[in-house]
Amino acid sequence: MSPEMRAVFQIFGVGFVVALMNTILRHADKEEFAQWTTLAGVVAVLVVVVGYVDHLYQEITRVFLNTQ
Amino acid sequence: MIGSILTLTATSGIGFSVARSYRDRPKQIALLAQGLRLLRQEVEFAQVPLPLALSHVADLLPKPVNLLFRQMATNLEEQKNAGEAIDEAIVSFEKKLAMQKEDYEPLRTLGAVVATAHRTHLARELDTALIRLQSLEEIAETDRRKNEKVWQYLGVLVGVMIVIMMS
Repeated sequence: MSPEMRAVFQIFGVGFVVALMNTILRHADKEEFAQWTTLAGVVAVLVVVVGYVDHLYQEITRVFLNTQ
Repeated sequence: MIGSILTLTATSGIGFSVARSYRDRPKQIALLAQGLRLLRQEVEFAQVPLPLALSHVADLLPKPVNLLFRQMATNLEEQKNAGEAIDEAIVSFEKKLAMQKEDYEPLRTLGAVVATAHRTHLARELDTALIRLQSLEEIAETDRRKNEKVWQYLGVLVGVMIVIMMS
């Protein structure tokens, strides 16, 4: 599996698990924990994505500004 | 692969053990209340001395709550006063039982008055402790309903999340 596809599946998995946790925590009247879980999920996805965003930014600067 | 299985097992184990402590708490409070009821009978009707009454109660109750009563009886036999005997038994079993600090308060209060109380007064104090334990049991039961399943699911889901992030 290519690294890009792996990242897509990772993000899908994290999103799915976070959605499940959110539902369970809201069901148990733990709204605050649910919000923290969502935030943790967003941070986890950002950790996965940040490398690709950096790569994209470098590509854009290379193509349009011709700096590299 | 082995790492994933170990992580999943560890987090699920933690989740299930927290869930178990929520499940055991109301049961143990109920058993403690049952123990006090038996103690009331022993003291009031059979007129047995307190250390012997406590060890009779310990014989009748299931584990692990009977160990608390057994320890109280042993402490009393070592010539400690009732308050100390109950306090020390609670301190030595606090970590081993699922009950929380506030669940022992009726017992501690009972220990403080039991040394000076007359037999009829003691029965009244036992009744008060039983009423307090009953309300604590209701609170513990509400907690159990709210948290037991949540911790079971969360343990597994956090494990899945870690496995996804590490893969």
